[in-house]
Amino acid sequence: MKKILITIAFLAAAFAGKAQYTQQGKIEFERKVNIKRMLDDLDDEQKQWIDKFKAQIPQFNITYFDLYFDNTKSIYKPGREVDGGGMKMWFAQSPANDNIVFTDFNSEKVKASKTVYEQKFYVQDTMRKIEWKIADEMRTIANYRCRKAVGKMFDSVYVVAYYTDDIPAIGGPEMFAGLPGMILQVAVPRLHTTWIAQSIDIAKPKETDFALSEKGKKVNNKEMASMLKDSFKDWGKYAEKNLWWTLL
Amino acid sequence: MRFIYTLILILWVSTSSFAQSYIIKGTVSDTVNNNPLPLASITLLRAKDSVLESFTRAKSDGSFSMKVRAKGKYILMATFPGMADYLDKIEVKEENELNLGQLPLVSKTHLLKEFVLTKQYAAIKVKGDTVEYIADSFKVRDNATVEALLKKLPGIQVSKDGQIMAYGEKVQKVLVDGEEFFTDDPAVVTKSLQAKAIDKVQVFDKKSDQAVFTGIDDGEKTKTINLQLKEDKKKGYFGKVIAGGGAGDEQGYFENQAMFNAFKAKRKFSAFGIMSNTGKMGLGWEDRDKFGGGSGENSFMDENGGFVTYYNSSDDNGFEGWNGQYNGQGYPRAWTAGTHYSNKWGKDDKYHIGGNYRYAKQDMATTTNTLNENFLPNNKRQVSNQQKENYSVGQRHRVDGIYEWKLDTTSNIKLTANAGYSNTKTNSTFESSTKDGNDSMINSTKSIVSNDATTKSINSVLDWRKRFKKKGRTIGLNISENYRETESNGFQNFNNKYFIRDTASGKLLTTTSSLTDQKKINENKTLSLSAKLNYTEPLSKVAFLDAAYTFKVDNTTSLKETFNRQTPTDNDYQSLDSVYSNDYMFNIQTHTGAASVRFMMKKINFSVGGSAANASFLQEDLIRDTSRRYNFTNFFPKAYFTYNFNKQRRLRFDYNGYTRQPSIDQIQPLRNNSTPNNIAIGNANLTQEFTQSVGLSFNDYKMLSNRYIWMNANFDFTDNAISRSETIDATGQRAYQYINVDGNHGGWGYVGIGRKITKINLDAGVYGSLNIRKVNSVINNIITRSDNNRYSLGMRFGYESEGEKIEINYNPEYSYNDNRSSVNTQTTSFYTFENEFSISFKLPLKFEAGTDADWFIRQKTSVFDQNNNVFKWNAYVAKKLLKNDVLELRLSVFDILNQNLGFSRYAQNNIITQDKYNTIRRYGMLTLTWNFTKAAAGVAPQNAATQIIQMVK
Repeated sequence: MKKILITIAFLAAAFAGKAQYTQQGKIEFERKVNIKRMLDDLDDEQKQWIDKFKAQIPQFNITYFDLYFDNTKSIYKPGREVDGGGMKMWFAQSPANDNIVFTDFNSEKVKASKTVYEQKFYVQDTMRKIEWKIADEMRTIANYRCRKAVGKMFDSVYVVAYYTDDIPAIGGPEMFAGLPGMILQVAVPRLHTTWIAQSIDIAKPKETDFALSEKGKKVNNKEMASMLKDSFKDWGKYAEKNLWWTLL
Repeated sequence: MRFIYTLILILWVSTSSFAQSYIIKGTVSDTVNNNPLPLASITLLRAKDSVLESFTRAKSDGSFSMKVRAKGKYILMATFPGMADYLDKIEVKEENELNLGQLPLVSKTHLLKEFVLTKQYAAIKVKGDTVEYIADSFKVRDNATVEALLKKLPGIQVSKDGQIMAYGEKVQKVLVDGEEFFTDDPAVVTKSLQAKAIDKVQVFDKKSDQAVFTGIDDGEKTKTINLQLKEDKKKGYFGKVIAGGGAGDEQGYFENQAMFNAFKAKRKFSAFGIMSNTGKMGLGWEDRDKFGGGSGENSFMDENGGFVTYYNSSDDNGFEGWNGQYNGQGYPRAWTAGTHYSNKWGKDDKYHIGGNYRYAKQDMATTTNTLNENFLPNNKRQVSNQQKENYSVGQRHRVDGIYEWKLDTTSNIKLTANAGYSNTKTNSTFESSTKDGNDSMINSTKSIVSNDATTKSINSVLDWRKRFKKKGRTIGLNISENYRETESNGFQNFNNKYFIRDTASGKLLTTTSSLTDQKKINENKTLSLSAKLNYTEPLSKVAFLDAAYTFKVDNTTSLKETFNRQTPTDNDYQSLDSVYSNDYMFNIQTHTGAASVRFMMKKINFSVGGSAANASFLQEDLIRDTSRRYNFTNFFPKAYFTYNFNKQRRLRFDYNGYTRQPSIDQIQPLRNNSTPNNIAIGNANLTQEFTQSVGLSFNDYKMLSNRYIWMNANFDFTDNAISRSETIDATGQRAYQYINVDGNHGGWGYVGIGRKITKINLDAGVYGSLNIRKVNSVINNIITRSDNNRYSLGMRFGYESEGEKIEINYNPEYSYNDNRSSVNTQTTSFYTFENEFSISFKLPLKFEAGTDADWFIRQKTSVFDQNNNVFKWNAYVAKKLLKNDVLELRLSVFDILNQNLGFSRYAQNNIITQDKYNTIRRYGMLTLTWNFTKAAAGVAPQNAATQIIQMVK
């Protein structure tokens, strides 16, 4: 699959037309989790034991997700498989591995199918409101010029996002959305995790690409959080992170 | 990034102030060509903190309108592909509509001509170069931040607002160990980065992700700093000293321990010593990790990503396992000491070296009473009762070492070696008698046996592994050597009496007796060498072929000499008894080939394969100068299938088949009189047996509700099973021969289910198991079928209050043993019922108390008619003292009711055996434990004068 290269800008802007906006397509995100640093956050007792295996643990766990979008909606779901099925270690099995998130930009609603261990959830809620601070910093991601924004979720967890004005859809990976353009990179430093757009295919997605199964326990984000808080209560330091993962 | 700042002053002031929201309007257009710019992005930020207030897109004519909730100062941003960003400060005042008019955007080409070029740096790009700084070479204060460190680095500047410049260029990305580091989250920043934690600072130009991905260099580069963290900057020591003394009904008790571990980065030294007569023989698994240097421990990650740690407690490895970990039999006294050193160095721990030395001395005094009920045809039985007094003294030394060398990222070599010396002296006296079903004595034995055995061993293993570039292709070579030498000499003195009775009336006709008084010398030396080559080839993305070939040679010499007294006063036992003496040499060569195909898919894994082994035996009688040869080919078919329903639910099916050849001793037994009432007869017609077993397991674990279900079942059946044919005469003497029989089978099953009830902090579970075994054998020429079955049902309850103040555990288990023999209508069935209960409290003033009880109820039978019920009850109270609770004083009482008893009862074929041992009983003990620890972070920076800048290509 070949990404299109958008040739920005060194043409005179004689034909300032729609062609220069990407109004639909599929973005491939690479999710990179720094496993070794994540393990550093475990309880001391667990850490001592895990230290024995550290030489065998790779630094990063990399998985791929696809985001299909047009100007009114987007859906985020697991993408291509890494050779050999990826990492199977228990600590690489974050609850967000199978998330499918559908966002409707007009009604500002999200619907998500999340599998948290043995429990399947069907989450319905409004788009997450984050107070974004826009920074004076630009970077090019997948050939799109992106601007940095910093926000906070769950009261204290910082999120760094890079969005591009050149894709008017106001979506992004997981439930990250609500910036003036498409989010092409998200980093959650406390989870040692980054989503970065690798390539963008502007072919129009099929309507079936946006299908979402409604199976699972019907909840909103708040209900899911309070249910899981109880289950995670014996998990030590890992509990809080696990909850963030689930609610991403 | 170039922004144009244009300041428009709004002069027009409106007076209307009723509106809830305000509207900002305008039109975006290309000023040069005067084209409207549809879909241009218009973003409004709050001027004071840059927080996103609102955004919209321009309509097809370039016009836009957006709502604002409050008046105030804003920054308006308008962007369009190919055009320079438009930035403007605006102020929403009283009027509810603000028309900004036309916002002129300028194409980048124009901008480039006008402004941008002047700002371009005439940077000299040195492609692919990295500048690397060794952090410790630059002296900074303790607790200094990374920023302070960067300021010290030549060529790097840090401005007041935290902006980093490297060689005049703005650094755009900061990575920590390759992960992009954002300074936006203060919690992460304060925690992560102290200058002391940094090993190296690398400055380089990072290619764009696009260029890395496509391999096409688009020339886009980002100045990047990577902070490589130090692996481990810890240094310190910890340890504990435990002193305990007490008194009991039979003797005084002591339990003293001292342990120490010092570490500096990856270098580790530890030592420990234990002396006790309470049954503590060595380090527990927790202490073994901390103070034992992980001797005999293996940790690895399995193919499913699970972490596996296991301990080798084979004779040569696990020191604590030596001569039996204290298993509740007899009175032990043990002294154990050990020391460990290990170090790792080089890039990614390229080299690893480690070694251990262990010493142990152990005394054991055991009194055992054994009752044997032996079922014979025609509803006859014999019951023997043996009383044994045993005293043993053992000493042992062991050294081991490991050297590991990672040749590169794909291959490594591991060399392990160990040597051991052990000596055990034992003295035993036995008294036994056997009665027939009419309760008449048929034989009796008195014996005294002593032995002094010394074993020396040297073992070494060389292991080489390599992974190839092709994913899944690996090769490995394993060469091992094992040498073991055992020398023993001892004396055996048997006095056997046989009571010959009239078969009909049972009247005593005559008594015969035999006396054995001999000296025995045994020497056994075995050298084994083996080489194994294994290879894995990926056949596709999901299929793999595993192949292995092993060649093994065993050479054994076995000298057994028996001496009689030449004259009754000959204390040197000078007369060689040729009947019970022999000298043999054995040579076994085994070739084994194995192959299997493995499929690894997301939900399904399965494998089919097997191995075949050809073993040729050469047995040479060195005294009679004769030799025999045997040759067997054994087959081991194997298959498994697993289905992963999801990450926590799994089903597995296993099939294993194996042939087993008869041992040489079974074909051609050596004359041996160490068990005088048992005589072995050889069987030259004995053939291999073939066992096949199938297993099924299912487990399901629910992470959120903590509910688990485990199920396991296994069934095996053996064709041509090697079983025994026994002839037992009326005086209880047994002659036995190994024969092949059909129809032997057995199996076991286990089901466990449990869950946590989070609301009341209760963990509850129930489990059941069954064991069945059917064995055919021949007793006095009658084919006998023995059924030994056991069924158990148990429950588990665990409660832990909030804050772990109270902990309660209760575990009852009921078992029923059903033993039948076809030669005898009697069944000997009995139940046992065990209850384990424990409770502990955390009390105020750092007091802690607890008690636990084990209640064993064992049903009597007609033969085992004594009361064996035991209520073993222990209790303790402890108080922690000093800062950080480093001191603990503990008073404990073991077996308060003085009822403890070593006990086991088991059935095998047509014999049921019950052993009772003397064991440690009631005592009280006062223990003082001191835990000490000191951990210092970081190594002081080296000489500040040496500023090393290393250029890395």
